[in-house]
Amino acid sequence: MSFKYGAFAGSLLFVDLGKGTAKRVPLERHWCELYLGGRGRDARVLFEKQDPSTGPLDPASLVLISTGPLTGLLGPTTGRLNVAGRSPLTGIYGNSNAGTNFGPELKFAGYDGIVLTGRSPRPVRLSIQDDDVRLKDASELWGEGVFETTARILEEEGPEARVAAIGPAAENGVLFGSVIFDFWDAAARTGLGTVLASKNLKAVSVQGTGAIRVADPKAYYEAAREGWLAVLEDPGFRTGEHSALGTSICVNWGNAQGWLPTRNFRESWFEGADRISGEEFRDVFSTREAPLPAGRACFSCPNRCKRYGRIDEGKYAGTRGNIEFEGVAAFGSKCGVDDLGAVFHAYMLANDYGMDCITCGNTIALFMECIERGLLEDEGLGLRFGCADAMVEMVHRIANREGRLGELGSQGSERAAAAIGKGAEALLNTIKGLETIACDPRAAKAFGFGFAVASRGSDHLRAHPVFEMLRKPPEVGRELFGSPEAVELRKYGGKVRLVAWHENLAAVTDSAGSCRFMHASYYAQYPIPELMNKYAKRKRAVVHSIKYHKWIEAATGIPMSYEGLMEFGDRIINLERALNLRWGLRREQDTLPRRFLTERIPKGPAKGELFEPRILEEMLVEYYKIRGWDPRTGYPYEERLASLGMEDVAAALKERGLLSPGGAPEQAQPFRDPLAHRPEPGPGENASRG
Amino acid sequence: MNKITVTVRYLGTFSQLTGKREETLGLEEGATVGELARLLGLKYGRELRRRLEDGESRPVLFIVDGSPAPSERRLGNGELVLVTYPAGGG
Repeated sequence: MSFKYGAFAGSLLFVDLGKGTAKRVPLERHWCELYLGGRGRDARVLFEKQDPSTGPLDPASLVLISTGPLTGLLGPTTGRLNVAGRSPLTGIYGNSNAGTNFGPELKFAGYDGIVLTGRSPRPVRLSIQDDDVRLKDASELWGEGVFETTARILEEEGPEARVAAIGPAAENGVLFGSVIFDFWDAAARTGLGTVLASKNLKAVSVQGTGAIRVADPKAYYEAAREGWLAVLEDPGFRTGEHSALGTSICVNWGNAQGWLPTRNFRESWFEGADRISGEEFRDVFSTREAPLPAGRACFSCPNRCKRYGRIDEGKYAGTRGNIEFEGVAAFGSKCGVDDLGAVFHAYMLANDYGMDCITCGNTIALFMECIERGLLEDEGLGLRFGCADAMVEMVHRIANREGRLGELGSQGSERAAAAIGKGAEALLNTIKGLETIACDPRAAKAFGFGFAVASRGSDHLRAHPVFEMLRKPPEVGRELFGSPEAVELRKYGGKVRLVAWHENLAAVTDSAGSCRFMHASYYAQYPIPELMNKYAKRKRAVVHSIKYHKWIEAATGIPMSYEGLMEFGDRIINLERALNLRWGLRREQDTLPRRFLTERIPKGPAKGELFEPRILEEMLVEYYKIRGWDPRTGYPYEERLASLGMEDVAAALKERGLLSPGGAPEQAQPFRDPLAHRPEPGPGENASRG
Repeated sequence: MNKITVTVRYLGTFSQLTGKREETLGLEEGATVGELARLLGLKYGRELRRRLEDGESRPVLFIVDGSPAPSERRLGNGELVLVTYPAGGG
């Protein structure tokens, strides 16, 4: 099949589970030209093809599993995919991005993505082998855990297959069911596994034998080579920290900086951090033996941030799998638990049951605080901060909706707090219905602001503004984000632009199929290496950087500049805003939970910190101006959407009274290429960049 | 000269390079963070020295009392020093 643009397989696989049909649908060109693929295209397909009144668990709802144009290609970190739909947990745009081998395999099979709709009358699984697409009976798999399900499908389909599976939690109606790829790689946030369960779809397996062609092979090779060199030269990559300990490096580091959420965010420093740290995991549970090495990598990734380990003895013997920082913090410091065996076990239980470990752990932490304050009965569990056994038991109860605590917990913390009443809502850490990740927003201002505006609810990965944590030169903060304070964790200056810039890039890479860590953990992307070199004591003669605009252009043939790249990101975020507005989101939900605005951090390195409500409001107004949204309502301005080529989106919002007429009084243009050669300013003109 | 002792906790890569998570070291009274860094470079060899002096990686931080300490900061008896890179990504 030929398609105008390179790097795309050229079609989506539409599967109607109610009718039992599957058909190949060619990609629309405008999807690629305006939204690339992955997260951006998924939002667009939802906007076009899912009626706004359709509930997340209605048969007519859609779930999309999508790759981007870079997925499966030669180049750093091209194993990412996106799972999207309307979230049953939050009611707004739900999506989750996973690093996998599944995404590349899907491209090799000839599909850019899968669109699932309808409800099968019986449990089924989808099997894809190139053009051979079948729905197979999965009655015997229904009720099985993710690990057993995956193993049995591999036995049947062969060891080369890649498998996405859901677990019993989603089947039981837990609202934050995950989709787990190849045993360990989770797309868990926002509960799209539960939507798959509502369709009676247990799993998807894929095997592909095709190739992917890029638009300009020579330019592509140069862009990819430049990207690899940029990663190898990156000061963060050179530390080897992720490869040594995985993302659990952040347990001790976050504690040292005072942002490790502790006891349901009452505190941000955990006295037991070292006992649940990445160092402890390496020394106690990590293994170099088969079946997997200690450090795992996604497709085409040099970073190896996934840490594999197992427990050989004691009451958690037999536990094995892949850990990440977020799960460790959710079941560890947030619950006040410093028993790493229990934390590892709870985490793997959540994966096997198929639940988002963040929502699960945060909900348990909320219950612990409610019980300690006398707002909730603990059903004889002894559920208190620090009680490892009760924490583990709660994972079982939530997955099985057992007892009142299990039933409440299965609905996520926001619905649970509403049911508990008696002021329990004041103890929540949710934004737009989604639980906050493992960073206290009072102690890290860009992270905090990013949570408030993230389009899927409280979330670090929409922006992932690690920049503020890395002690970069203040001059780089000033050049890129307008303030030297941008490099200071506890300061507010420059943080709005910092968040918006990171959001734009993240939207692009989520849509292209590349990993967040290359541009928002490491900073290998243009123009950061160039700016770092400008202010370095020892300057390099040649600086390499990942130039996503050139890389994507060479792959696809879609013309792109640095500013054009930023515009792609802006457009995707505007589309997500439009989707969310149609689903009922309003401006007042762009905020932080009460605790972070009213309670100062009581101890540790960030003692006394708060997110000042007045400053948050000022930051929101600045953010809306950058996005082209009306600061009074949070609705997009008509002219802004038109300038982004989104006239039909504007029309759809206008119909519902969700559009602001005209344009922003002063349109901010904050993301020009800072290193592009520009004409010298004329007399009287301000020489500083806009 | 009187002696002081400090507890040094090695995070991440530094725990790999030293083979230790934590140790107690004796220093001369009035010793600074910079002097501690030099001592560690001598004790643990070239690779650690390279990391401490390498302008190509992120800067190594010596965190004392909750904050990154400059090299001239004097250490007090019984203080805890974390040796780490700034990190991110969870």
